Amino acid sequence: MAVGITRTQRVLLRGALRCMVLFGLLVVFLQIANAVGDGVLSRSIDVADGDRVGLRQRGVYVYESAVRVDLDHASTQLWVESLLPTVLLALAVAAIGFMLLRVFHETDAGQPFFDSSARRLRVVSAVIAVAAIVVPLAAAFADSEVLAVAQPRLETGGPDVAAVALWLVIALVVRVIAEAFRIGTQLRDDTEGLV
Amino acid sequence: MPVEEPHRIVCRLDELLAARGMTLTALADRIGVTIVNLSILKNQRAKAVRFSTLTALCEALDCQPGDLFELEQR
Repeated sequence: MAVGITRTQRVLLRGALRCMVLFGLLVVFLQIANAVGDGVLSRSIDVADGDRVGLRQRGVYVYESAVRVDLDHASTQLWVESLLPTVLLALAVAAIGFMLLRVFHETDAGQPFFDSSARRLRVVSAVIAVAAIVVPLAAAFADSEVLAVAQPRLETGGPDVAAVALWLVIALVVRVIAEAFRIGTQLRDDTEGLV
Repeated sequence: MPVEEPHRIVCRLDELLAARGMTLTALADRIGVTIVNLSILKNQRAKAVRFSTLTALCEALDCQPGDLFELEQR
């Protein structure tokens, strides 16, 4: 029995984690289906030097900082580059959801401190950290490649450094929790057989 | 994680209970330790004993810690 949460909360948490896994896999499927389907590569791209739209009211400026690109006959390489960030992110979400679901099952069974739980949390932390770096880089690369074909005079805005930093902090927090689970497993082993 | 070394401590709870005509259940009731834990101790599966448990056992069985445990010879 998990301590501190009600039966309803347990059901909701389990459902949310299962949704994470399904959502990740569904996104991968839809992305590939879209690529195979209509064949139009659509991409919304943040550009570095957006054209000012022209509204200026009491010191408020409005900038057009994103463009939407639709390419009818994109090359296979461009398709792969364009799909890669979303597919990587979706796979990361599915993997994280799956591993957290396994950790939750063990915790829910009344045995939170297992080597396997600590190991899974370490993997979750690593997946978050790698995804936090690789996905924005892949997205920025894909943006620049698509812009080079569609509109060479525009430049991409580049990765969102604040978002990357935030996800790295989250990965660090999960790593600390994994360490707590590892120490908890050691303590459980130490007290096993204590009368 | 430190490597767990095998021990050679033998618990003589079984003999002490037989000598006093006491059952494990009666001992568990008297000292407030679960029968599961006493069974672990009796069947040589315990890895450690709290001083509080040892004190309660010695009082209930009217013995010394040395009567309860012995070091098995190699």
